[in-house]
Amino acid sequence: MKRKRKSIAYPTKVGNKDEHIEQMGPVITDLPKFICQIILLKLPTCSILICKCVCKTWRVLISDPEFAKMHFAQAEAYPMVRPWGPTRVSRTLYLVEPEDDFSLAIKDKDYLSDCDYGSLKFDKCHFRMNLAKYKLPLRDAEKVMNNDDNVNLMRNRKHGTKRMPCIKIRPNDHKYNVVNSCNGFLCLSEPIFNDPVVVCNPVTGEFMHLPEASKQENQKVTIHCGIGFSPKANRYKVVRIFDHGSPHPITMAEVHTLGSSSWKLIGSCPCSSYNQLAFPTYIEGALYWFYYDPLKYVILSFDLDSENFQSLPPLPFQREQYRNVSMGVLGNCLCVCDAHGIHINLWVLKNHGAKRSWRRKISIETDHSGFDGERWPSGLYKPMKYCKDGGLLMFNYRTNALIYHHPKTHRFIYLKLRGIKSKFSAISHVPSFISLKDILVGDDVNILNINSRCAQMKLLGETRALFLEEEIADLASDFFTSESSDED
Amino acid sequence: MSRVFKLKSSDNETFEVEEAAALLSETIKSSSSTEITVPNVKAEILGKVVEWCNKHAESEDTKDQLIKEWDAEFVSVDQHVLFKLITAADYLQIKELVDQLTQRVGDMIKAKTLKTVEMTYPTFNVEREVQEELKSLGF
Repeated sequence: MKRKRKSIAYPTKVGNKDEHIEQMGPVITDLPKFICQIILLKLPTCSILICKCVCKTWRVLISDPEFAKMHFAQAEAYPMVRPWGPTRVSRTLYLVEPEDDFSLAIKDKDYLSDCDYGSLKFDKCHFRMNLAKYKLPLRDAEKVMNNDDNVNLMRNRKHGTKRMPCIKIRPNDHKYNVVNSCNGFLCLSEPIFNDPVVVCNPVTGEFMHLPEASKQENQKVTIHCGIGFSPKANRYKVVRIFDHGSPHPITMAEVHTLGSSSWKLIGSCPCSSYNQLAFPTYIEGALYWFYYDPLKYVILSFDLDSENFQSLPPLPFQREQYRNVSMGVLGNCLCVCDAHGIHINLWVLKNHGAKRSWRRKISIETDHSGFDGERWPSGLYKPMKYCKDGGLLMFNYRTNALIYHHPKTHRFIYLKLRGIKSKFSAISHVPSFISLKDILVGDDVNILNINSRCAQMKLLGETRALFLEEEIADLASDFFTSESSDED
Repeated sequence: MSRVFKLKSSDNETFEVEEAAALLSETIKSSSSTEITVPNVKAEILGKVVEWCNKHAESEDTKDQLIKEWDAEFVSVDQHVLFKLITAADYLQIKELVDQLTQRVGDMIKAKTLKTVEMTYPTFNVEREVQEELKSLGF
């Protein structure tokens, strides 16, 4: 597998070290600390991480918990995509950050005008997105570090041990599920039963193992979980929904406060373990899961402050066969995205004092492409980000693409993930530099860092670069799943 | 009756500034006298700051396209001049100018760091090329 590298030529500095020292005038580290902070806070996450390595002054500044707090206060959520498949260990996550402000796109009159058929493609410079790689830990890192698990190495034993540049390991041994993201932290679970086992911060590379939870008598039931933040207690908690008791198990919930040594049983859960809870989402002090029964869609809500389940007003639409419904976060509200026929509707949960209701925030008619051959892809859409300029960024599961749409126009920008041939999953994630040390209850927990373990190792399948390419949505690829094409 | 402020640079040059332009600076606003000495800032730099203030005092609408273009040109200076400008604007507490200048520095850093297609691990062994590039920014 060759490493695909976009070669950008930039001049190599062939200079004398003395020339650097002889500089006239101030250098950037002469600037006062808070000015440096202002400069660094405006940079995308991967740039900040690079700046951390440049000099000691900046390393200290960026590692300071004060900087992490300031950064988190102004951080936004971005899509984080992950190549996903049965043959992949999938430990690499890609955070999609725009290189420039999204608002640039709207200044282009061509984009806003529906009648303009002249420009075939939008000016590509409007959507330069940077995909920075972050890594998850491996489930059995010791095995890999001792080279016991290197399948390549084993195969070569006949011919003598030959060091391969890329390590091949078994996904079944090392893969984690990413459950959900909360304030920059990810909850990871083991892939067979979805039992939550690790909490990590992909930006800092820190991770910790969760203590052992209650065993399920019936081993075959999927566990549902998620990580959330309780504002009143100022603590991070992981919630676990599982089957408890025999011979007639009840679905129960238990909670673990990050840093404590055990799980606390809460009580029974209003849903049954037969319900497939999907799209675990954290927002504003509560965790939400989405499921359906034969007639309707239901959202399960767990308040992290009071530690109990709450009911939500029912969704304003019925369950139907060709509806593709997902749940996520938009702005600061819980959002349900309903893609049905030629409509995509985004509903948000609004609080009016004690009362809550669903309000339709965005409604898109997808048959108005306004352009020859361009069609909104069908399939499941997941809301990713509500941009400052009022535009909406969503992830389409079927085509592995990000779709940007501004309500003032019928057009959309189709950004396809290229470079790695795989299915992708995506979640909305707020990058943060906050250390696990600063959020845990006690100091008893062993905090590990992937950068001191397996980060340096290259796994097979990790060498390709991933990038987003602005393309025209392909009508042909829509053939098998779009119902409108059946009518054609 | 609009007051006239006198700003003195560290090399003893005096700039006369109209009230509207001068009051863009929080330091001047909260100062009791109309004569302010700006230490450690030479005439060349202070002159540029005064120029920025004058331009921003005369046009009401800061979102105007022409102003934005003028601002963009204003910050496209050599990095050493940029850092000196930041020090001056910071002393005079002209928030908008500090924002524009720091944004420019950020953009310069972004341009160098985002050239790296594959992010290397945040250890001390960052790619040599990136280190060299950033060194040229004056680190």
